[in-house]
Amino acid sequence: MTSDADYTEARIRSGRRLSVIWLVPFIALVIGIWMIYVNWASQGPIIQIIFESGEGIEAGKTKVRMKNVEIGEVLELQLSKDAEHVLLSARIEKNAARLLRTDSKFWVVRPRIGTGGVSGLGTLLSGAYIELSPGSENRRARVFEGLDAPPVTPLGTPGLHVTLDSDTNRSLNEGDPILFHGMQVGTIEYVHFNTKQRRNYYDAFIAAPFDSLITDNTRFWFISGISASISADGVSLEMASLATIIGGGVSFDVPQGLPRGDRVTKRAFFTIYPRKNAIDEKYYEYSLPFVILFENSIRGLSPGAPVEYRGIKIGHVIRTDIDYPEITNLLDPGSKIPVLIEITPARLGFEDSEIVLPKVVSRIDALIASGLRAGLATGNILTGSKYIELQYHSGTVGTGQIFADYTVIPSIDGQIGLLLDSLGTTLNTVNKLPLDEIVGSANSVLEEVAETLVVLRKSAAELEQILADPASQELIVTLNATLKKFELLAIDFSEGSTTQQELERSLNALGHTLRELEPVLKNLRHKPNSLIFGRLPGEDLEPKGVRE
Amino acid sequence: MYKNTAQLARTHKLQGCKVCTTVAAIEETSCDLCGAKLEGHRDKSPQYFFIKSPQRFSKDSPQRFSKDSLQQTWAWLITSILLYLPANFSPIMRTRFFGQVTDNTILGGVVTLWEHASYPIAIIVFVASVLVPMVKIVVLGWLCLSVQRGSTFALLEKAELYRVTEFIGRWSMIDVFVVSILVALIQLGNVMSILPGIAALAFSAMVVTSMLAAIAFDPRLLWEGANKVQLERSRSNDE
Amino acid sequence: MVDVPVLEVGKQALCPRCNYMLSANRYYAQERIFAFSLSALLFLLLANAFPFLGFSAQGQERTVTLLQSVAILITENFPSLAVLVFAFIIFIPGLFLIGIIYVSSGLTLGRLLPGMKRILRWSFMLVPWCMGEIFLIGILVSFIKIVAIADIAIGLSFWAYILFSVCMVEVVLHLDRREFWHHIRNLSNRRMSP
Repeated sequence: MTSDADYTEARIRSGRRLSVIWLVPFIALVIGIWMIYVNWASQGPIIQIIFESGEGIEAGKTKVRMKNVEIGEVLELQLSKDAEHVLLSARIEKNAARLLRTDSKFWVVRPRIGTGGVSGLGTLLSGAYIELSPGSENRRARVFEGLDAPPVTPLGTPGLHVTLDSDTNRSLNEGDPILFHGMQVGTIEYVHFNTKQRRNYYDAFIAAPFDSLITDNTRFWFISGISASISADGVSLEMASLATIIGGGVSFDVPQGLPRGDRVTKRAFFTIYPRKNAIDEKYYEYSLPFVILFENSIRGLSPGAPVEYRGIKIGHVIRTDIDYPEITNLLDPGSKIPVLIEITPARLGFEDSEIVLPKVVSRIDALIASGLRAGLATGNILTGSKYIELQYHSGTVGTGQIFADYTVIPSIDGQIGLLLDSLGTTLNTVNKLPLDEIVGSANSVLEEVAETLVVLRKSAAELEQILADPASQELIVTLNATLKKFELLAIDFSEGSTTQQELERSLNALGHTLRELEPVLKNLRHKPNSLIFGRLPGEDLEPKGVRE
Repeated sequence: MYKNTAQLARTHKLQGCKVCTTVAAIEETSCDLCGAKLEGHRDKSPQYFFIKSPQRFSKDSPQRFSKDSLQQTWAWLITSILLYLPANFSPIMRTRFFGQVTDNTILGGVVTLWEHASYPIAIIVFVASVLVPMVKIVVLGWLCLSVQRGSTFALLEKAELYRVTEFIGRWSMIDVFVVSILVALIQLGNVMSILPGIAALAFSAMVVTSMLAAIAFDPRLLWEGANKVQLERSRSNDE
Repeated sequence: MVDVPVLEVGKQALCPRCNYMLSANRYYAQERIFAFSLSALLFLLLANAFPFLGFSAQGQERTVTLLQSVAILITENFPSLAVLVFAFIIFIPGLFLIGIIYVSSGLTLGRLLPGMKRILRWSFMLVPWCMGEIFLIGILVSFIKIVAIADIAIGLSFWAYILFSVCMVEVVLHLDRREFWHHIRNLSNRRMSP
């Protein structure tokens, strides 16, 4: 038996056993965390792209691709705050995140029809997608500005990027071709108009291996399908490829007479010349305006017409209108017609810089004072186009006149014209023909022949006398002598004799003369007007160089 | 014949809560455990509530709780019968393929599947979408009718049938889910897209109403006929 | 009226009249239900978090989440269908699970939580409307329909939904009305007579 003191109650602990079943939610939790991790780990960054329009883009459906491999998806499409753009967020796969550099480019691939052909037809069925062109910059980016159109050059193409600019009213479009000798070697990628400078800038890409054609002496010029121009130089008609007839394009080459120059490897800047023949003229930046006041008609003088000094182009006409405040009434008998011209100091041999301008102004003032005069000259009798020629007229004394803030170069009456000059030159050419010599040669030959005939006649008379004499011995002796004389005559006429040589020389001279005359005649046959046109089109060759 | 198996609650003036199975006195109007409504108090007379001819309907035979159940069952059942026709004969989905829109009915889909030799799928779809709702409607209708007739025929089997019906009814929703998945996935614009048809709505409404009908049906009603026999016996015994 | 005795573990009580299983005392039924409903709810949440299914044909791709696949029905002018589908596959199962978790946590804590009885009553009413497993079968059927014309990609959410369905089936199979109310009755009796 046990006493009360011995009796102790067992300590009761409410056993809280944890069932194995709780492994289930635990495993569920682990799976859940794993799923979240996998999802998080596989997710790439979210980027934002700004587009002009959201056409064809659908959130959750439109993909981001690179070289047709899917690398992301558009999550959201919304308007920007100012409602001018479309803000698009897209998730890019993690392994493609390294492609997102500051210079990465995005554009929407959708069906396009352009001069370069049809592209993106596949998206007619599949819907548009966004293409990525990876960048090469080191810095990464998350916000991008989308391009409106695909960059014309396929990604990663080796070649050379150049920047072209022009201020003419010709313009190029993205995708227009760049030709070299009629073959497409590159394209215009991006067009930018600088409103401040009023110039067009073009990013162009010359694909390898043609990029090696770009040297520091390369000149670019506009081409278009057909271009016709009528100028003092005559009519010119150019035709290029069909693509350029529709669109336009740029061609380049090194001007004739210039060395090829050094190959350009970095992005370089070139100015686009308006025409091919313009590339031979150097592009000058600085010029000086002058006004010429004409009393006579200026018919035939148009803006762009050359201003020449002793036959060398030193500038061109800018304006021929009368829109000046000084001109009030053209019907006044004393009123003159102003022609605004521009003289390029660099064409006169000065430096092409701003510094020389005052110097040139004072020099020209001095020249005007000592008799420099401007006159109208006819460049082309058929088209009637005229140019301005600056000449000295030592007899006259100039006055420094100012018209509408421009220095006036005094004018003289128009020349009699180049026609007379031309005719004179042509006649001179004809005069210079060695006709005298030919005639002289022929004369001497004929004289010699006459002499021979006289001798012959003498011989014949002597023979007669001999035949008339019956004495045989004497006859034989005489006959012998006669034969000897005949022999002498024959020798005289035989090859190598003086007479023979002389005749031959004369005939040669005639042939030579005719040969010399041949080009003149040919010229006359092909260009009958060359007798009329005073001056054959000539390009003034000058030192050339790339503007950089 | 059921005397040995169990005694009815009502014979002891008791009732069971349908929600929490608590046993309560027959006069209680709500379960004191779970708060559900109890309907035993309306069960004043152990007689049939349904009268085949209007003449036999009198104030002496007041409505019982089971009438609500049966009425609800019938109402839902008739609704689902009405919905069964548009559900099967109007297009359940419209397929747009290169701009050309084709309507697909359930039966048409089954036929197409069969023609493409997808026999198991064709059978599944046919059973789940056509057969099951039909069988369910027929079975529920039969059960209701037999309750009204007070039939004591094959009660166990009927109860089993009811439970099977209640279980398989939900599976008719398969076709609606198939349509919704197809619609969700195949959205390629004009190339190929699938749009839901009006039958999808009718069909799901039919499934829902037939489920409601099955839920409304109280299987204990099946034993009403047996109850009557039992009660009459006990009454005659008492007398 | 059938008196259901306190059951031994592993036994089932059947109605003597109609053979309906009235109650069954399964191994740790309450804990199982609690554990599986927690897991099911977790998987249901996960199923809404990631891409559900992907589809690609004709060079076009499309990935949808579970909610998006429902939302498409709204944009296709069938909002009522969208509501039904959403209710059957996400909302009602979620509600049911939350209710069961609430009641189960109350039972585990041994306390009668506010509104517990009502929530339990409603939760049981929701059971037939949980159609997760039917939805899965529907997806499989549509796969077979699509597979000839397109490629299908299965997202993380799909796996989560499968796991949700498995847990859900487990919960519903072990759900025992009598057992739940029995515990609640015990709890309320204990509170009434402390």
